[in-house]
Amino acid sequence: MPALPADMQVLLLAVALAMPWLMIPALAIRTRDAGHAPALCLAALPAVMAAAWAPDGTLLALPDALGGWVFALDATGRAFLAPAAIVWALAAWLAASLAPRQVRSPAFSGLWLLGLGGNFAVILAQDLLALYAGLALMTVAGLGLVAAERTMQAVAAARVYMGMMLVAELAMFVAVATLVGGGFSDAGFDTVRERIDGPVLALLGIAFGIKLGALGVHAWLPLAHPVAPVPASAVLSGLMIKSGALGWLRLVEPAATGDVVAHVLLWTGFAASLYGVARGLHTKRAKTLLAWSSVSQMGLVTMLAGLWILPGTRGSGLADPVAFAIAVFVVHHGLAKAALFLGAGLLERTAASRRSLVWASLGLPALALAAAPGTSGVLAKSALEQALAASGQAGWIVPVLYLSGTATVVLMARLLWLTRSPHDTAASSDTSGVRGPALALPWVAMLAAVLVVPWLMLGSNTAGPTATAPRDHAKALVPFVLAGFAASLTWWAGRRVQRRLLNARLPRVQARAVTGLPAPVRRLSLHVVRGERWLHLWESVGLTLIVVAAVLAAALSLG
Amino acid sequence: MTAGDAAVIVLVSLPHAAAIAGFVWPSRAVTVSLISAATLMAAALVAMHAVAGHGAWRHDVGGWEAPLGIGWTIDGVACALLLLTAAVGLAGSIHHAAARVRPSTAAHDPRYFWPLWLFLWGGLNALFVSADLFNIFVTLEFVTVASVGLIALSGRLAQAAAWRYLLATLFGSSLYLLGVALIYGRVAALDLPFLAQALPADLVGMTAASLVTIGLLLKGAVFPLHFWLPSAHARALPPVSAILSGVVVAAAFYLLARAWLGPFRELLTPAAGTALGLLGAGAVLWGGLLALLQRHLKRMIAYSTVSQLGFCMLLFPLAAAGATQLAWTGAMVVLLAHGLSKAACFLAAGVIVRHHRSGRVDALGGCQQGIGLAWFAFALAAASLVGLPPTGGFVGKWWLAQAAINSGAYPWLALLVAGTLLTAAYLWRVLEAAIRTGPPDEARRPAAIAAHREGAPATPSDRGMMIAALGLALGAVAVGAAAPTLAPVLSSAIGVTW
Repeated sequence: MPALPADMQVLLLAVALAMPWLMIPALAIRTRDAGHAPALCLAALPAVMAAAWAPDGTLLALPDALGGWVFALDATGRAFLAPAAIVWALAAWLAASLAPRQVRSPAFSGLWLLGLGGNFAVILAQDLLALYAGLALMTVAGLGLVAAERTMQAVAAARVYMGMMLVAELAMFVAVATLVGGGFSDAGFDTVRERIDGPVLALLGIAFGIKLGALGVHAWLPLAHPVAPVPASAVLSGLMIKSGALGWLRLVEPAATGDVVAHVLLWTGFAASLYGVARGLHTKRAKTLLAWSSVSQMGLVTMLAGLWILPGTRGSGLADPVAFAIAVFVVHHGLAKAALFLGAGLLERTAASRRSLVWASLGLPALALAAAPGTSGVLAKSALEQALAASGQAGWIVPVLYLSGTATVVLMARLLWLTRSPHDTAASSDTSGVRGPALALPWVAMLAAVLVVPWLMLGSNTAGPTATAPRDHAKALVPFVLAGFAASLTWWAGRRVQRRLLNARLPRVQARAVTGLPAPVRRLSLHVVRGERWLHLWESVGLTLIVVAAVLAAALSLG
Repeated sequence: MTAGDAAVIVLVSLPHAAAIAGFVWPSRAVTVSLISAATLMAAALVAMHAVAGHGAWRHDVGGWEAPLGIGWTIDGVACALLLLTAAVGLAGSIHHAAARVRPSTAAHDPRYFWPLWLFLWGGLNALFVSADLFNIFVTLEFVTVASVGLIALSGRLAQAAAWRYLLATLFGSSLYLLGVALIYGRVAALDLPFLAQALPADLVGMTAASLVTIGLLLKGAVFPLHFWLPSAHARALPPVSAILSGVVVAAAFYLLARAWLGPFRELLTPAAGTALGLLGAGAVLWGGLLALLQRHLKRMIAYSTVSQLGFCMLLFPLAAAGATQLAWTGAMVVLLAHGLSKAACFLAAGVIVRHHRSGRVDALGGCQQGIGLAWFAFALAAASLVGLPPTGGFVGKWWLAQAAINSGAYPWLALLVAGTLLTAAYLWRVLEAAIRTGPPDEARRPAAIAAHREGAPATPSDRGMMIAALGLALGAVAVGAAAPTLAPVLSSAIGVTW
């Protein structure tokens, strides 16, 4: 890797951060242009270069006129930046054929760039206020992306997303307002971290938990991710949900609280990893299945978030096995899940003649997510085990993890089964605009990234815990064997039972329609309206005036 | 005479002169108004520049000093509100001028719009610089008369609302005048900075404070005295709604804040502050709930004004609890950001309602071709009203939250959070309706309307109106970006005791 001069490194970082913001006005000028996709792709390119060439510790301090915020690239940030930059770039490249209608609209492009800019700002921020602002912008952009299709489901999902994200934003607002003083200065992570106490930690937990889609506050995730246009689903599910984990890593110190919180997170995370799979198996839509798989995988990240706050002295930066494991998960899941969403979208728009080829290639990220030997999944799994061992929690969890690994294998098999033939997808007849090389190139690049990037970045982490051994790859076969055994068992038990198992209808979590307000709320609103009408009567005006005057007089004479 | 002095004289006298010119030569009214609107904007910028550069100053009109003459105080807060008036006035002028370009509406252009509009503008400008309680009364009456006239312009339905507004606001003025008379009887002075030192906290002072406060609460439509506002603001023309909701109501709050932190500072005990704060809390929650329940877009925006002004009322309990400086800047930034974004909402709503030929929220879905810019302005304004980070609404709420945290007044912080939830809920209802691909009762609509919905491209007239709205919404965002420079400017307030 060639070493860049220091000025160039800082410039590269600045361009990577500023590029999306510079592109937004450019798009506003050329609103009728159909060729937005290359521009969108271009917006993420400097970040790819920064992730590849800027060394750790590259620091960009904005002047005071721009808030005096500090952005920097460190090892943790790079683990988030690399997959983010790659996925934003490749998803935009594929967007022209996956979501042609959206790419032509300036609103979608604007939201895309807003989300992109917010995401990079969150990743590179070294300052609580910059992190907070970036998170909020990214969340708003996510809202627009979820609602972009304008269908009933999209609107309903957007409503749930908005409601839950608003709670997260408000929790975050109160936490940030408590941590940062009256001015807008002095919000560096190191200063802020020391001021965190119990209530603030709880608020941060709520905010980051919702963003991450942790079990219990995950309701928005399986609703919102499937309804967005395919490229947007990829960035939502692959990248944006990771911001919760990043916030947790940046703000919360190890040993910030007692064991209780850590164990709660550990158990919730483990439960989520199974629950997500169980719900994923009961859906027939590939994108919904993938969203539930994200719930399951974020469960593993929740476990790591729990380990992170366990007391104990470990290394700093990525030398810490827990931080290292989170970094591996971010890279591995970000790339694999984005590839799965993009691949699933690609299948819907591929002509029948080439369909089987694309379908087979979809197997690659599926295998990676299922942690087949040789894929980044093995890296993630062994990192998780090492993190558990380093925190002294390995005892009961490691064997149980095989259960969740097996469940993921089954889920990925189900995904491939669902997508094997085109009849289950509504848009399969519409194959317009799909041309060979334009699609093949970014798709192959995406697959290559899934295969190579995690190993390149974290496979030989000299500072951190030693990564995988051949033994780990062999162990990774166990869930496949178990899954195969389970599958043959169900086969043996008869196709009828199998069908019932896979297709049984659990009560669905659907967003309520506007009209379906519960009766007490309707009654309350009736009273409110009636009260308002009363306030508009002249008699009542006189009365309220007298009451207000009395209240004021009482307050004044009290003081 | 300095440039700042000249700018203030222009700000107060030019609108009145232009109003007379527009009345006498109706055919030239549009040209005259647009030119004076641009000049007023420039003058407000010059005044703001002068305050930011040399600090606040006092201008004695005609060289006559108080107590005989009339004093003007030109400080940071006054200039910020002058600038707000200029921004809303300019955007409203452009919006109305653009609306009448369209042949179908040119015929309905109300005859007296421009004179009344400029008259209102002049009254507001005079109000913001006045430092004299009686002079303020006079300017308040200017504003009242012009506002009532403007509301009544938009037809039969609006006349009832205008009538209610007239009665309510006249009653408020009389109460205010009664309070002023008491003060004059007690200390024989009306000058605000002078009174800030001189007004004793005895029974007369308390009675006067109560009367002045109730009068201004009526004019500011603070809960539960907001009964006149929703119909008046919802039925007026879009630019009129914009200036009424964005600036006229804010003017009442501005006076309330100056009075309580100036002459009545001694009376602002925790109990009094809490009483005013509770009114604000009522406004935030009640106004928010009602905004959530409205079926019509403009009524929803009008109720949102009631709710948002409640946030400003938090100034009093927080100042009484000791965090005066933070609460003051916070409340003033909320006031400015609200003025800009609310005006943007009304201007955008004007275009949106015209495009869909219906003001009902659930009829706003479907084809939005041609009015994308209006929705963009609305969404941006909504972001500021909710208080998303880089916007002015965020900065204002941030400082109010800081004031609450610093003074340990956590219930007010909880109110801030609850009010924000309500704000997001009712604004999301509108945006959600816009996202829907069609209103549920599309099938029952006449075919002609359905045909119209299928993509009437934006006319230059629409574009002018939408750009006016967008400019204001961007202004609300800019207030947030300018926060670090804004804080010292807003803290420059003559006659305010910290």
